[in-house]
Amino acid sequence: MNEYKPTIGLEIHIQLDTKTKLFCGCSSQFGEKPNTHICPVCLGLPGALPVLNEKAVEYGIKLGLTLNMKINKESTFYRKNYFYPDLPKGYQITQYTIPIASEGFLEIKTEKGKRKISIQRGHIEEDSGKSIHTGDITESTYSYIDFNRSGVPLMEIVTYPDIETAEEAYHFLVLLRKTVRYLGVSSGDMEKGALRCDVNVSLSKSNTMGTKVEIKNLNSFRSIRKALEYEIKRQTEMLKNGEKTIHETRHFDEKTGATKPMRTKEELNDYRYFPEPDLPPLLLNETFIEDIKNSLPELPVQKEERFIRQYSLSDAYAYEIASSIELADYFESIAKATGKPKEVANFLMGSIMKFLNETEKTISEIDFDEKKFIEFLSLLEKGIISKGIAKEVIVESLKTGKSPKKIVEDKGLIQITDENKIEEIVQQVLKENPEAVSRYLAGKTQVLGFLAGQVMKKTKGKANPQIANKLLTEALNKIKQ
Amino acid sequence: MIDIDKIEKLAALKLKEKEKKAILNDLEEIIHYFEILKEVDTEDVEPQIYTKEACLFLRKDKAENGLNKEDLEKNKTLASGNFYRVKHIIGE
Ligand SMILES: [Zn+2]
Repeated sequence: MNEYKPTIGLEIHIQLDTKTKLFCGCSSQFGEKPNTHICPVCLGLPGALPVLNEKAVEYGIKLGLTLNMKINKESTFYRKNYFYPDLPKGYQITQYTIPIASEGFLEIKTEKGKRKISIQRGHIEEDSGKSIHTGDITESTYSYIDFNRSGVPLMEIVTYPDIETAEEAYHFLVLLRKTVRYLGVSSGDMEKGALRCDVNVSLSKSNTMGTKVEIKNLNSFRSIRKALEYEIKRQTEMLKNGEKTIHETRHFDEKTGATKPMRTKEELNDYRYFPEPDLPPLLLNETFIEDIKNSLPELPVQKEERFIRQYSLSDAYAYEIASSIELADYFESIAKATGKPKEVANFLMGSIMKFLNETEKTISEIDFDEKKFIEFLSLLEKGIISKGIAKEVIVESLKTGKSPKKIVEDKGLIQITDENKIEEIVQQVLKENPEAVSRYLAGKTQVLGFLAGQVMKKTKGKANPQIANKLLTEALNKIKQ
Repeated sequence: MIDIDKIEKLAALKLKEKEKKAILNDLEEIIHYFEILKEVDTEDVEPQIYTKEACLFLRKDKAENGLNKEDLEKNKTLASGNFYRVKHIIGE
C-alpha cells in the first residue's frame, strides 16, 4: 500500500470552434500564413474596442451544461495583466470572480468503476499570440510573433484536486475530449493546440495538505499520464526518505519521460486583475440557456449505454463505436437499415476498422454505404460467399468503391456449395496427406482442422466450411470402417 | 518608486535623459491623482463598476476583413516570414 495519497488537479484550455475570434471578426482558422487574420482589436491598437462573439458564449454554455455546471446568469470579464510580447494589449481578457459556468462534474469510468470528478469552474477567455524563437532560446536576439491566434476564444475548465491516479486523469481527459467533439464546440486536437492541459499534483498522508507541483509541456494524453506517474513516484520516494517536496513548476521531457524543474521567475506573478471596463456584465436569460439545453446532443456515455441496451452490443464494442460521433452515426444508420446490428458491429470493428487504421482514414472518408452493406450481408446470409471470403470482399470494396456483388462476380468468389465438387477436393486432400489421415485414425482428431484448412486452401477459401467439414468427417469415418 | 529604466527597457524605447524626466514626472502625477482620490470617504459605499444602463452587445460569428496585406507591407510592419519581430524576451 502506498501510504501517500496523490491529489491531482487539471486546468484544461479548450479552443472553441467558432469561425471568428472572441472579440473581433477576424477568422480564427488554424494553420494560415502568420499575421493574416489580424485587426486593431486583436493587435491591441489604441482605441479598439472588444465586441463579444455570441457563438463563443453559446459554446461555453453548451460545454458548461454538459459538464453538469451551473450557468451564471450574470458573469463578468476581467483584465489579467502581464507583460509579454505575444499579448499586445498587455492584458488578457478573461473571467475571474464570476465565470460563465461553475460547480459541476464529469463522471468517468475506470477499471475500478465509476467516479465523479468535480469541476470548479469554466470560464471564457481569449488566447494570446504565438511566439517563435529561432535558434537557441537563450541566445537568439529576436523573437517572432504571429498574432493569428491572438483573441481566439478559449474555455478554461478547472477541476477540483479530486483526481487520485494518473489513470483517472487520463480517463477524464479522454472523456472530456470526446464530449467537446460530440458537442461540436472544439476539435479537441492537442497537436493543433486546440486542447491544452496543465496538471498539478501533490502527495499527502491522510489529513495533511501536500505541496503542489505543477507540470507543463504536456503535448499528449500519453505524456500527461507518464508525467503524472513519474511525478507520483518521485514525490513518494522523496517523502519516504524524509525529504520535503517544494512548490514548483516542472517541465516534462518527452524523451526521457522525466520531469525537471523549470527555470522560473523569482517573484510570484501578480496579475492585478480588474474589471474590463469595455465590457459590461454578460447577462443571460433563462430562455437562451433553456434553448441551448434543449439542443444538446446525446453524449458519449449515454450513447454507449443505449447501444448496449438497444442493439445488445458488448461493452467493449459499444465503448469503441460511441467513442466518435461519426463512427456512432455510421453504425446506427447501417444497423437500422440492415436490421442486423451485431453483424454490422462485428464487421465495423473488424475489417473496416483495420482498413481505416492501415490507410489512416476516418469513417466519413470511406464509401461503404447502407446499400452496399445490405448487399454484402445478404451475400453472406444466402451463402453466396463464405465468412472468410467476406473479409476479402469488404476490403476490396473499401479500396475500389465497387459494390460487393460486382467484386464477387468479377473475382469469382462465389462460395462452392456443390457437394460433388467439394467431395472431389476432399478425396484429393486425403490422398495427398496420408500421414495426417493415419494420425486421425489413431485418434488425433484435431488433425481434422488441418485437413479442412487444406480443402479451403485448394478452393481459395470458397468452399462452404460446414459442407467441407461434414464431407471430410464422413470420408475419414469411411476409411476407419 | 517608479523604475523608469526598467519601463524603458520593457517598452523597447530609447529615451533621452530629458524625456525620462518628463515621463517620470507624468507618471508620478498620475499616481498622485490616486492619492487625492484616497481622501474621499468611501465607507458604506458599494463599489460600482459599471453604469446601470450598460448592456453587453453580442456579435454574430461572422468573419470580417481585418488589416490587409498591402497596408502591412506599405508600413513595413512585418519582418521576414510575415512575423512581427521583437527583442527576444526570455528571462525578463
Ligand atoms: Zn482581430
